[in-house]
Amino acid sequence: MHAVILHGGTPDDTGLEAAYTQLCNAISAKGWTVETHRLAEMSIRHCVGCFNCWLRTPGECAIQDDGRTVTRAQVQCDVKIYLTPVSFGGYSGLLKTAVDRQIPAISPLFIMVNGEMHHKLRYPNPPAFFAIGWQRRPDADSAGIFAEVVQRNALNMHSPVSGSVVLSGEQAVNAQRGLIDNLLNNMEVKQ
Amino acid sequence: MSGKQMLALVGSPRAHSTSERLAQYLANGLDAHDWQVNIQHISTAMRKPERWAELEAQFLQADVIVLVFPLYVDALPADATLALEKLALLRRTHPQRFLSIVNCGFVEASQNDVATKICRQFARECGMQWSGGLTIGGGGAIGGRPLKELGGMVAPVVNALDMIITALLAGQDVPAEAYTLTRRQVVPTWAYFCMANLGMIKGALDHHVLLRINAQPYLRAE
Repeated sequence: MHAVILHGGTPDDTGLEAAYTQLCNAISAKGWTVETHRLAEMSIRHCVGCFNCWLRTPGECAIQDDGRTVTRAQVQCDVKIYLTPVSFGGYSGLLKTAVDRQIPAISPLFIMVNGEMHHKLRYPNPPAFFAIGWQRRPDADSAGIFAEVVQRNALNMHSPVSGSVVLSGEQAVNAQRGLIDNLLNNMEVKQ
Repeated sequence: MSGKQMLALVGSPRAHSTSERLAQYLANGLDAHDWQVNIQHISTAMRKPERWAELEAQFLQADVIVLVFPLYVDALPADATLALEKLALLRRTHPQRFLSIVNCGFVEASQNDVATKICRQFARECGMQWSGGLTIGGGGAIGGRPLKELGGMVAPVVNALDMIITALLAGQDVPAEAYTLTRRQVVPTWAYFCMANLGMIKGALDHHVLLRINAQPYLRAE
């Protein structure tokens, strides 16, 4: 199994960095390979909504920067993991910039899923997807929204397996590791 | 003069977007009642320091702030998220109301619900009064055109915006009737679904890529 981590924090997010270490340890313990994209160190411009990736150069964004690298990695991995500070219940702006640039990975055409309109898959076998949110202090409202965002993303990206967890700076390192292990284990059971 | 100020933040990175048209309609309605209304395009302001400084000043002075944006991958566009992260750090000095208007290309307005919750959470974390959110599905029916040029298909949206204008003038929140109006589908799902797919096929045909519309440039070599 090959896991790709999109790290949506900045170097001064020390708590998130500790969670990242726990995540890498948990993945290594499973014998998976891991590839991390630290978005703060990459050059990724925002999606401009031109739809060229659908209607002019299908499958490829018109912007030639690290956004293409990240999209390719997410298409080719077995497990996609977002690690991010929780920003008003959603992803950090840094991570969202990379997420918005993923639309070349889906088709412009629509299908109905559970009675709702969604885009079709462009690639077969989409990766499992999970997200780990980080809060300095626990906040149940924003953690609840975060879970919903992940659920919606999983639906739109046709992820066969998905899940999320929100960690906080008030948890012990062992507790964080336990939550991460549970998430990964649940995914294996579902698969 | 009423002395009231509103700042409309347009979250679409596109010029002449549906979000801009919605914000403009709202602005015109309030302007007619002597409100001082400013419209700022977030993506432009994020890349021009002098424009950002202007946006910040207007944000701090406004009595009402409305964020109008398209749904990007189930949430706010990245620039709008980054802007809210920066605005949340400002020290505000007077009570402010915050509301959102989100539109998506899917026919179901409900697909905007999580994005609206993110806006509500922003208001909560900033200590602003949450005045509610309007959710608009089938944004393709507006397609970046001025609302007054469009016909009955957007009548519920126009009526809902009129209700919001009336409510804001009276110092009230987004009325439940306005919310309900835009939740109702004007076009049946099957019809919108067919039109949306045909629109994409036509677009691909126009750009001579119809046979490659599902190309897989990043397919993993097994």
